[in-house]
Amino acid sequence: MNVTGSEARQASIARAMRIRELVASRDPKAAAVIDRALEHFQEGRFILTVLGKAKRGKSTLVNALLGRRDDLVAPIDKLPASSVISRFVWAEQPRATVFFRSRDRAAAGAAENIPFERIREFVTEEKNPNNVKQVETVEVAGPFPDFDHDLILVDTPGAGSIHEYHDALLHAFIPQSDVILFLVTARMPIDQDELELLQQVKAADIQKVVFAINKVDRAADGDIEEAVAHNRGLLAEAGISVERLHRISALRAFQADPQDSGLDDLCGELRALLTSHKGQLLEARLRARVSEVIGPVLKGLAIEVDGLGKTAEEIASQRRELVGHREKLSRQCSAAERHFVHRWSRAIDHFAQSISTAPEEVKIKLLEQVRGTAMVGLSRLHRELPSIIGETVDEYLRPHAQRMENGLQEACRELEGGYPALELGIGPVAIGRQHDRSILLGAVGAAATAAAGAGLVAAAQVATAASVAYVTTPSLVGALLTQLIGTSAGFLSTTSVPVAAPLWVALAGPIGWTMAGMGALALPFAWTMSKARQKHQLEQEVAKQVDRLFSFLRDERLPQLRKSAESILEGFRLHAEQELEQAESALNRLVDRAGDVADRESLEALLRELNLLVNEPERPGE
Amino acid sequence: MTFQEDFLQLADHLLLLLHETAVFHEGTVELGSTLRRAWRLAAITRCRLDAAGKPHVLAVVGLGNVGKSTLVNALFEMELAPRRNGPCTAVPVEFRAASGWGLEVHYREEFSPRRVACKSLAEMHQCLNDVANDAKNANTRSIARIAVTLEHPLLRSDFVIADTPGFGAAQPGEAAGSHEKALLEYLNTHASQVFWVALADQGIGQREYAFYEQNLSAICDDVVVTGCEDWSESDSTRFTRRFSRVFGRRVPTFHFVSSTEKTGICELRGRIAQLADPTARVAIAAEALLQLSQDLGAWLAQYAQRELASTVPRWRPDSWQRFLAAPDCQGLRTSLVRHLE
Repeated sequence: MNVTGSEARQASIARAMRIRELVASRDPKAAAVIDRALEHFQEGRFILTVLGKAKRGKSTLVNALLGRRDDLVAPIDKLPASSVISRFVWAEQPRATVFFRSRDRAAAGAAENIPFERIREFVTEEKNPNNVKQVETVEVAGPFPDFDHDLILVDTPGAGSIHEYHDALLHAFIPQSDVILFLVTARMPIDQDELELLQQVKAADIQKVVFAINKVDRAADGDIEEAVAHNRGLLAEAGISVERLHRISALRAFQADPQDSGLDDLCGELRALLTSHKGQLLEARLRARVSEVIGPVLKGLAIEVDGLGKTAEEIASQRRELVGHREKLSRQCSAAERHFVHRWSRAIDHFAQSISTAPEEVKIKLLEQVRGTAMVGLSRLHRELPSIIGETVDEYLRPHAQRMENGLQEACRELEGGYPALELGIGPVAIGRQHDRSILLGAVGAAATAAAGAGLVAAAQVATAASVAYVTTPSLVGALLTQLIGTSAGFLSTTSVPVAAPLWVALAGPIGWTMAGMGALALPFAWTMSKARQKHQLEQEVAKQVDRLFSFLRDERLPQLRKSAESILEGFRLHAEQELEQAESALNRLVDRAGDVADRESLEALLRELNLLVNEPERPGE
Repeated sequence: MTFQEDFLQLADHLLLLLHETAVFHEGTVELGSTLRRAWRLAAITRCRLDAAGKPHVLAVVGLGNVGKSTLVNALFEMELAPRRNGPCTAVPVEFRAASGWGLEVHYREEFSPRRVACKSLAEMHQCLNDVANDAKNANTRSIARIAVTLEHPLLRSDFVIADTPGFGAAQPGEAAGSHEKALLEYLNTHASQVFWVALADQGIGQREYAFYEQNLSAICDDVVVTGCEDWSESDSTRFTRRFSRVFGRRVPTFHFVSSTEKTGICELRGRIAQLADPTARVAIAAEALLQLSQDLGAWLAQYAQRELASTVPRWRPDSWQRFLAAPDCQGLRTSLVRHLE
């Protein structure tokens, strides 16, 4: 299966490689940065989640997509089979890892490597009923034929089964997906359960839902038409726009009969969606990082080309000017930097202050709700509590977080505008001040630029995609929460929120941070509370969860956010430094070979090509 | 008085004994709650017994699209009930015994039904279609149920089989939820016994189980699993094992059938014949009551040995005396007394 458009991405890689080649001899450091950017680009993963009610053929489809001829890695059964979420990724060596839940242990839960033959013992309802083995998730890696190297395929247990923990698992996973593949069957037109599941997908703000009607091999044509008509009507009414209802037979595909399986079409749409959405953002990010590092090189080149026509005296005077400005610059910079740090910290202080009473207020609100619930409503409340807690915390934090984000953004803008500029008398080159904001963007991976065009959540995902293997963090507070969850849920424990994350948040402006962060929040609640059925237990659990959340916010995330001011400044300084360095070495080179015409031609050619490559229009359709 | 009436009287006495003693032992949590549970179970059996003697309606109930109508057609060996891939049966359709083909359309707020005699199955179908088309126009909701009359060995004058609208189906537009409403109304007013239909391919889901808990648990002893085309014995065993654990103590019987390949249909007809016979129904209820008293007696004996001081009576003394004096019914009272003593 090729759904992530990795071929198209080759062009971006080739372009970056060419730039790297051109500058490698002039600036090895820049080449190293491009190498890293490429690495990150290639690490960017897409998450495709297969969702549906029990017995819709999800695991069969997963096997087909993986190109498996057996059901070792995604077991299939006549009865609902899957009891845990499985993740599939490409790797050269086959490997299956079971991650266990960590109830009391901090950070990651235990993990165990198992051979493929034993996967069944952990993921099936038959061998692991009600998930008694406390499996959180299973990751299966292997050299699956035709499987995209940058794809994470997620197989989920069927929703709406009698095994209620399935639902908690599912709802935690929905917000993390880039694209959801929703499976229904030809035999069963969409029912209430499926509509509710779809509403949840909608609530998680996942715009990309692909529909497939499975098991068309087991229904008469007339029946399929009736099902399609019914499904279309219902989806339209639910406000879910679907261009196509793919008709597939996962079973045929699994049995190596791809012609009639309808899978080619389906993969086509998946590919279009994945590449047009996150793929573009990843590309934008690579492009921005390359531009950022090439910027100073280009300026140095421009200076050099310009200076080739000048006399040795003129060049020497420019060198003196540069050294003089350099000292002046560092003095002015430190004033702007101090101001920035002050503004930055103040925004965070305000936030910390404004939420100092939050734990108590939120607890009171939640406990009122628990106490006000009649005994008969308890099990329902128990089920809904994770999202209730999420919503309440969300509601409380939102205005405060937005104010903080505004403050941080303001601080960044001032830094950008107030950073001292240096004008050299050489060509049209300004050094120091970043009129194109490339420093700011450089420090944060350019996600903010992309954000302007392609949706903030996605931008945020890109910002974190490189360093976060499985979880994408859509926002500042989302990041806070993801980190929180990371400590209590094993499969998220690999999450590391990059230190630079707050900056793009600050630049991109306040964003709908409830979108995914809160969805993921449901996770630890649903799990740790699975046994707390009594009212007072629920109350204790609520209090505990709220305390944990806020103490995490206060003691870990906010200090981290405070520190990130330093890394932003670091980015500014580094960039200015690089430009000065480039200018200086350009001038040095000029002193050595003034008036060399042949050299001038090759330099001009290099400058032209680099300019062309950096400013090359993006691929059509972006 | 008939056997059934005698038996009802005896069951009432037993209920009284259980209830009074439950209150009597209220301070002892374990004993009190067990007696209460026994009382509730006995009350269900009493309802069954009461219904056993009256005209009986066997309702075929299940999630949308699990193949209820297809099952009905297979049972009758003819295309009686209309079916399609989508929510279809909008009102309950009863199949009643009569000497010839016919249709009775029962309207809401209307005491006399519209009767149409038909000459053949085909004509009956035509009439059914006409009614359905009429219903689509203005007064859709006003039909309460439709009765199809026919001659068939499965049916008796006091035994009706009913196909019902599916629950849990997502219906578009204004009709949303109308099927479920029609089904519940029918269950509450007409059904005496339920065949719960589930699809083999799907198992039993939360929604279905919740519906069973709320509406069916007292009147359902049978789960019919349809679509078992390529199912082996061991598949059925696993299915039963997997899904019977949600039922707690009162596990219904699972029947595995394939409507298209006609497997299991014969056995199911046998079960229907049993339910169609009032004497058999009473016997089943009597059997259930005896079983209940036997289980309760055994539990009480153990409990008394373990917990009860010899001075504390097992039963409330005056209630027990009254129960001993209750009129017997073909030796049933003697058996009950023996179990419970």
